[in-house]
Amino acid sequence: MKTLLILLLALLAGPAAQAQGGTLPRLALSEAYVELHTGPGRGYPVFHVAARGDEVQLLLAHTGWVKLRTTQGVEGWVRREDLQGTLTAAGLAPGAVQRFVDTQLHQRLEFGAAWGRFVGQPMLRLSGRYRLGEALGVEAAIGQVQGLYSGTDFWQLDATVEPMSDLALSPYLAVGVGRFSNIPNASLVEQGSTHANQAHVGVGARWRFGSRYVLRADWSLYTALLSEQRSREYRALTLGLSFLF
Amino acid sequence: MHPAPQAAALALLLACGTAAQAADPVIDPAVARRDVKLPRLPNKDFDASLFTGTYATQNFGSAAVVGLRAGYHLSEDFFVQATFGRTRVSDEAFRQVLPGGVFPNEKETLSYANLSLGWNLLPGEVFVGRGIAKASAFYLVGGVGTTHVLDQRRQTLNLGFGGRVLMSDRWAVSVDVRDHLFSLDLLGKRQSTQNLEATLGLSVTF
Repeated sequence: MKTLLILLLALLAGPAAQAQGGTLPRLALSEAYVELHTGPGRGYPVFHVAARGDEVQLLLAHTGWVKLRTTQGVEGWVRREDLQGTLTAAGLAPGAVQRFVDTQLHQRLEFGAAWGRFVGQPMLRLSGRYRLGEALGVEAAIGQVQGLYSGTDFWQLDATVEPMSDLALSPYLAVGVGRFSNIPNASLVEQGSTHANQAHVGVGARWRFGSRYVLRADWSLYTALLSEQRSREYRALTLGLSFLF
Repeated sequence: MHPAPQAAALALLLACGTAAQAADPVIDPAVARRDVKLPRLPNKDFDASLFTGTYATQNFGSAAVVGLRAGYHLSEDFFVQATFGRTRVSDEAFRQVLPGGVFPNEKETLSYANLSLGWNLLPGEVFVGRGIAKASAFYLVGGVGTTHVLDQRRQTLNLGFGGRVLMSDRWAVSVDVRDHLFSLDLLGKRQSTQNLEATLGLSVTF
């Protein structure tokens, strides 16, 4: 019977909605009541309550919150979980980006930044990782190492293996290749930039917390192929924070 | 009854049935499929902003800064933000005592890029008169990045705070104060510098 209360009229909701190029969903609440906050967050005060059967128009979503308008014209923000019954019964389609994230990615994509030491020098790394399966993944990263007399930019591509990826805290192994570009500080020495291919291995651990956050620490051994006869090894230790899509 | 008339009757019935079905099917399978289009709920978790303000370097004067920010709101509490900014630095103060100065030219460009994590610490409202209330948030922000000045690229930590007022569903105004910490050796000695930036930005949510 509850579902019968749900009306999905999907009518054009006036010029504002037309300007956004879509139709705004209008439906009847199936929850006993929902609290309307003044902003999209639990810290914003509750100023209105809408009850079961009230017809509301959904305006937009922001993080875990949905902005709605009641028939009296009151606009406020409701936590998405509090509207779950109504949304499920209405069969509301998520937006294009959300639909792609929900159906295609399944938290396979991860973006993060890490900070650490590269042979005692500060190192910064931005990375993107895509999980191909339960254990295997590929990662691309760019970074920078700041030395006393020169700065090094690098990029790298990695294959990662995470055999116990279902655990909240899981170890992983990475193997990859990339390239270093060493640029001396212009104020100190008149010297050109040098470039070198590099290969590396790394071990680390990832700790998943919250719904989509990852804290990771890793240790890597880089081998810079300076010339055909010469190579040098560098060790790096980083700590990073990532989030999942 | 003999089996032959039975079989003949059955065959007749079947033939009639088939003929009737061909002429007038009980169920017509060629029903046009209903195209149900579910309405969408637009998700607005991204924002882009343009900002301007003042960037005060520790040793090389202060000047106007302009830049761009792109943000993604992870949750109601946290957001990540990529920033690119550009300002001018000057060694005018040194030229008064050091003929020739420190820079090749008196004014040089300083640009920076960083990735920061923000924490919406104090959500609230801003009241304009008696009738208008706008949702706002005070946030802490910090991150890592790089500063590019005179062919030197220095890793930079940034720490700061800011306030955001949501003017509408689409537009927001923010005020930010950031400290950019990086080391420089332009004065002959490597020293860690603190560089304060105060900006006003206008952002659009999409």
